[in-house]
Order: sequence, then structure tokens, then C-alpha cells
Amino acid sequence: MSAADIVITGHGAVTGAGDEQAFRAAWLEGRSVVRPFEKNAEGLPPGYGAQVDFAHKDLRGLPGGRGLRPGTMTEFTFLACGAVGRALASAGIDAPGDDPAEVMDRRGIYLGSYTNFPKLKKHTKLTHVMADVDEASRGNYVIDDARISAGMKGFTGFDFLKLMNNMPTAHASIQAGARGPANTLLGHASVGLQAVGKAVDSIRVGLADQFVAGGTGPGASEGLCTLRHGSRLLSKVGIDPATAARPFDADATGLVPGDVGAAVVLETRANAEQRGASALARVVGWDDAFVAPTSPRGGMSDAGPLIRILRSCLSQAGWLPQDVDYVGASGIGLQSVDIGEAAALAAVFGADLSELALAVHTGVSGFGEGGHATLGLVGALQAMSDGRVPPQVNLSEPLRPLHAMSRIHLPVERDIRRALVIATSPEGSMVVFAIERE
Amino acid sequence: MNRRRVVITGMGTVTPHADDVDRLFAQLCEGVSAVDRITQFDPEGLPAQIAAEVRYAVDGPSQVGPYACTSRTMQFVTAAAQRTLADAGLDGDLASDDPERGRRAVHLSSGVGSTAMEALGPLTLGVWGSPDSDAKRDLVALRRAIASHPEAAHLVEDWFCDFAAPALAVMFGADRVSTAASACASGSHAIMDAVHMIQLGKADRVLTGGVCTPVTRSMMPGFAMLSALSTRNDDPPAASRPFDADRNGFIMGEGSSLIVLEDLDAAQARGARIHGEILGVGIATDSYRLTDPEPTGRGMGEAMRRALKDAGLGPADVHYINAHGTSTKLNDAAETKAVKASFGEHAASIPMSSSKSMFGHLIHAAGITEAIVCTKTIQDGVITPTINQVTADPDCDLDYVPNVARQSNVQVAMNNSFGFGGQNVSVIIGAYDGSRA
Repeated sequence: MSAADIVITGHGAVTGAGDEQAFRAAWLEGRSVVRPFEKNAEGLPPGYGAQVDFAHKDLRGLPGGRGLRPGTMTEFTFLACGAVGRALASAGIDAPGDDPAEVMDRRGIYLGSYTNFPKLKKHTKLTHVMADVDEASRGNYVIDDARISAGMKGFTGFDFLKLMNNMPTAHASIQAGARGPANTLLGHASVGLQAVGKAVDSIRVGLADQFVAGGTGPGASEGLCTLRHGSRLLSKVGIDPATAARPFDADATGLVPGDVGAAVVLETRANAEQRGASALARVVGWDDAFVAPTSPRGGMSDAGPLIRILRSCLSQAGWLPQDVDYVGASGIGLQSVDIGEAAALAAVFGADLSELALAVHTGVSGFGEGGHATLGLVGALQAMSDGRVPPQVNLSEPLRPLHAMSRIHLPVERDIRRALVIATSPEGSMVVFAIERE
Repeated sequence: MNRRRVVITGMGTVTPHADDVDRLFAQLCEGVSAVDRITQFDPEGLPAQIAAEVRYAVDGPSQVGPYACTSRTMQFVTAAAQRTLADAGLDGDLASDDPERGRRAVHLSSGVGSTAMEALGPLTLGVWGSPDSDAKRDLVALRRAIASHPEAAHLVEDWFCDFAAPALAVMFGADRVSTAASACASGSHAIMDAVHMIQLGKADRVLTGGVCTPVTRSMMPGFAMLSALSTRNDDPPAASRPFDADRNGFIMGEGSSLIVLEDLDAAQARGARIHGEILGVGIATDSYRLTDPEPTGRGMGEAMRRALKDAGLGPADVHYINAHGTSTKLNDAAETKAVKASFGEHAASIPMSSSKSMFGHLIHAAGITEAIVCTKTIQDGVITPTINQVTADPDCDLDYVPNVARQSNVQVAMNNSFGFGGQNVSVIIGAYDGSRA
């Protein structure tokens, strides 16, 4: 089976703006939803982001939501299940657990989740209590193993189980009634789109007829804010939140945290037709690559691999650069990565860059880690549907390779049939996806 | 069009028994347990005080490209990679513009790293004072402390394990990298994904495997709280007893194992030594509960049946099963049911042993290590035993190769891996048959 026989029949998202429709509205208005941290985030760098209000009850009303146990979820899992539920609803799969066994057996779920991380205080308290009291009085931290049990007071097994990296997918497989393949892609911020690509491959080799695939990234959670701040990748403290997320912009100061969960429903054309589902787009290519950064999180050291996979996707799709109606760029807002993506776009599109409809959502939603790129795919599907290229938010002074690019300040009406979506990451991996409207 | 055949051309390991495949297999054949009292910390007072640790110095790189190999996770995985690539004859450097890079990939399964939260301990003293203090622990003060100590990020990097696969890509010269986790099924899942990458023509050679270092002060009691671990602290070598009536939980293990999978034509073109062939893979999900396997073994059985179908084999064609066999009450009974359901009348006559009886549960590295055991079983004609078989369990009544290794001409072996969260993968490995079309 070729990738072109695989269609997308639904999409959903949970973002700092709200669901995928609220996200779309904010983007078309050119409105950033990055704001000062509101809830229980005092002291957390950079002090602002696009946070999701984690209302567990919201999951209950989504397809498959009644069987979920939000109390056993991390923020990663919560966003994953929110996005999966929204995507299932969009695809008309309202009661996935009630489907016939043969349908569930052929439904898979792949999610990208940068990692899975606990609440800081509870687990850090454990390490504090473990400390040797005498050594502590001298200012030294030495673990007293006899105090491990004391540190465990207040914990249950679920406090550890929920940290396992496969838990977003484990919960979502129950939610989605998915008894086919299930897997969690990890470790890089591009994994949300890689998971969708792996789902395409799994359908191609016959493992399933239908997949829910996407990514989750509570970028504005304390765990990821802490990590990214420590890696010196976050944007500056004390700047205007609404203008902080600046993809491809010369004045960008770093990653702006955003919470994002996003997912799509993929299936064979035959499966979609059999159940009467409408195909939004077909998959016509995808590819991924990795180039080691100069330091562990040091930015894109070489644009060559991204150029290669952009061209690979054009080739798979049978397109020339000028055939592309829309590029959902990654533009994570980190100059050391964005400059590589900009160079790759300039190299591949050349003179066509001035006509290119380049859309990038980071200015609206912040950087949503494992959910970021899947949200870009959702944005491309929305653009195919509503025929509008949304504005480039907070992109005032494009990085040099993009000086010739077309500037979009207000939504532009356009017949969008062919789209590329790009994922990049501070860790060095990248993904490109090609879809064509049905 | 015939699908591409996928063969194993390199194997390497860092396990509790040894950092050498042949020595590991020899000890398994002798029924040697690697389970003992935990040495990485004093476990006195914990419910589970035993594990299968790597208790020897691991010789491997200290730095790979931009990645420091200081954590236990990085030490194990890069050392295993070094051995695997040497075994495959693929340990030479590639030029940065060598097109071969685009034909190579790394797919790793990894999970929670070793001691991330413990490493944040020093910061807590400065913020919260004495660990005996009754004062309220101020979260905001902790956040501010972390924010003012950027090096804190390095302390939690172990948690993420996201440098392991990139480091392997640097060692292997691969242009594609992915990391995945499906808990205890991860290693076999990695094999499946790598096979599909090759079959779809996305790569010719994939370095794949797993790494796990969960023997930590927090993970050990955490798993014990789930009632998952054996508490037979007074007799460590006897603690892991899959399928035995007196089993009471699994033994945590640690290590890393990797293999090189190659397209057969590509392997032959470079004159590679072929250890075995991946004949088929199958996957199914329970979609049932987070911790417990579906009690009838539906998902497990479905994974086995799908693997058989993928390989074009019938139940009578499988000569050996390396069981998931964790030594927990629920898993072993469910796996037994699933094997019976999948293999029917043949189930009772197929030898099925659990390597976990000797090296515990290597979690993300389990499936790949056991695939290596399957491959050695085929190569050497010896089935490793399930040790500690003393009291028969009426719910587990198959041939578990009790206590003693067995000579056998095994041409086809199945490896089962079933994960917390209900993800099940079966892989079928065969002797390489050059005459097969």
C-alpha cells in the first residue's frame, strides 16, 4: 500500500487557546495566547507561557473519556487524552470502546511525548527526606538509605506508574478502544509528527486499518520549564508575553513555553469509505532525519538533512516546489534551530520563496514540545478546510535566509490543496510531512 | 513484489551476567542466576531488596560526539553499541557526506533513567533546610533555586534519556533516529519498528535495542508499591521463578542490548556474517487496564497469532518460545493461556523458557536481550532453562524447560514481550536459510 492510500479523517487539539477551533480563531485573529502564568506557577521561569487549564472533568465528555482515570495522569497524559478525544470526535468515532472487536483490533495508537515528568514538589520532597541529617547540618547532601522508606510516605504505586513513558499511550489506547499497535515516541520535540509518520508506515505494512496519532507536550509545565530554563533555551524573563514567541524572527530570545496536545485520525481509504467517513486529506509523503547538534541541545548544526527530507517529500508526492500551496513551518522560536530551517526553506524553494504561503503557529501557541508539530499538521488541515493562510504572528524581522519570503499580516484567502508540514527540535531530529486535500 | 528479508548481523550486550553475548549465553545454559542483594544503595527496610545489577566495570566510551557518557544509562548503551557494531563489522567511521548515512537508522527503546530526582537533592537542602524539619516545603522557593542554578538541568537529563539514541546515531553514522517506549514490550517493539523500516525501504541497516537502569532508590520502592516485585529477599537466586506456584513478583534488572538488523541483500553485498533472520512480528494491545494483563491473554495471544501469520508459519513450525515469563502471578498464567490459545494442540510440546528467571526483568532492554538469547539458541542448539521450578502451578502447565538446559535443534524461535499498559509484541526469529526465496 502506498502512503497515498492513507487518508486523514479527523483532527483535534488542546492548546493554551482552548480546543482546535479556539486555536484556529486565535491564529486567524493574529492573537498570541501567551500570557503571564496564572495558576500555581509563581517562581517558574520564564514567568509566562500558553498554559492549558487542566480541568480533568473536560476529559469525561470526550469519546472514550468515561473510562479514563485522570487522577493517575501526568500533564503529558492529560493533554494526550484530550487531543485523542477531540480527534476521535472529529472523525465521528464517538464511542470507540463500543466498536466491534474486529474494528478495535485494527485500530492503533501512536503518540509522541517528549518525556513524562512528575510534579516537582512531591518527588523532590522524597529526595529531601532521604538526606542524611548530620551531613545536612554541615551543608552536605548525602543520601541516608535508611531514610528511603520515610521519603516514600505519602506515595502510592500509581505515583510511579504514571511516570512511565508509555503511559500517555496506555491511557489513550483504553480511551480509543485501540487493540492494534500502540507505541510512544520519545526524546525529541519533533516526536509528535514522527508518531504520525510511524502510524502511516504501520498502516502501509498492514498492522492496522486505522490509527489515532499525534503528540503531547505540556511545555508550560514546571518540569519542562525547569529543564529548558536550565538548558538556557527559554525566552527572556520580563518581556511582553504576547510578543515573546517569535518564530524565525531576529529578535527572538528563546523558546516560549506552550501546552499542546494534538492528534489526527488516519485510516485506509477503504476503511474510511466503509464507515462513511469524509477524508480531509491524503498522506502523500513523509520523512525524518537527525543531525547531531554541536552540543546536546545546541541547535541545528547542519541544514543539509532537512533539505534532503524536504526534497524527499516533494519527490514522494510528485510535486515541484512551486506546486506547494502551504508550508506549515516549525519555527520553534529558537534562533539556533530556526536559522537552519530558514536556510533549508530558502534552499528548497529558492525563487519561489516570495510566493510561498509560510504559516507558523508558534507565535500564537508558544512551543508545545511533543505536541508542537502535530498542531502544525492540524493547522494545515484547517487551512485546507477554510481556505485561509493565517497571519505570521510576531514575525517582524525575518532571519536572513527568509528575507525574500512573502509576509502575511492578515489572513489570505487561498485554495490550499498541497501542504508541507515541518517539525524541528532543539535535540537535532526533524520530520517533514506532505498532505494533499481530497 | 517480495518483501525485503531482514537479518541479524550484529549483537552486543551489557547485562547482569556479562558484557559479552557468548559468556551471557553460557551462564544461562548453566542456570546461573544474576540476582542478588542490591549494591547500588543499601536497600534495608525496603520491601524488595534484591535485583539483577550490572556489578562489574563496564568498558565503553566516555564521550560520543557532544554527549557525555557519565550516567549509567549512557555507559551501558554506548558500551553495548560498541560491542554490537564491532560484531557486525560496522564500527568504522563514515564521512559526513557518505550517502550510506542516509541508509542507516537507530531505533532505541529506553525509559526512566537512573537517579534524576536524587540528583536534585543538594538543592533541596539549601531551600528547605534540614530534612527533619517540620516546616512547610516551599515550592516557589524551590523553583527559584532551580531557576538560579541552570546546571540543575543537567541533573535531570538522566530522567529523559534523550541523549542515548542520538549518541548511538553518532557512533553508527545514522541519519535517522527514534526513541520509543512500550514499557516491558519495548525491546521487541524496537525490533518490529526496525524491521518495518527496512521492509519499507527507508533504511538498509538499523541499530536497534534497548537500555534500562531502574535499580534506584525511588523506582525500586515504587514498583514494590505496585506489588510487582518479588520480596524473597532471603534467597535472591531463587526469587525469580516464572511459572512456579510460589512465584511472588518479578526481579528488577538493568542493562542494555542492541542488534544490527539489515536488509539481506545489503548484508550479503558487504559479506556480513548472518546470525539469524527475523521471520515475522506481531503486535496487539489489551486496551484493558494499566497494570494488569487482560486475564484471558487475548492481547498476548493475538500478538503471537499475528507474528505467525506475518511469518507465514503455523503453530507446528515453532520449535521454542522465549516467554515473557516475568514471575508474577497474573502474567505467567495469562501467557500460558495465550500460548495454549495460539498454538492449540502443539502448545504442550513446544519448549518455553523464561530468561528472566536468571537475569530478572530488564524492562526496556528485556525483549532485545531475549531475542539475542533466541538467536543463540538457534545457533548453538541449546535451550536455556527456566530455573527455580520447584512447585508446579496448575495454571501453568506447559513445558517450561525446568532447571536444566536442553539440547535441541531449534530452527524457529518466538520471543514474547508484554508491557505494563497492555502492549504486546511477539517476534519470530529463524535460522538463516540461504536457499529460501
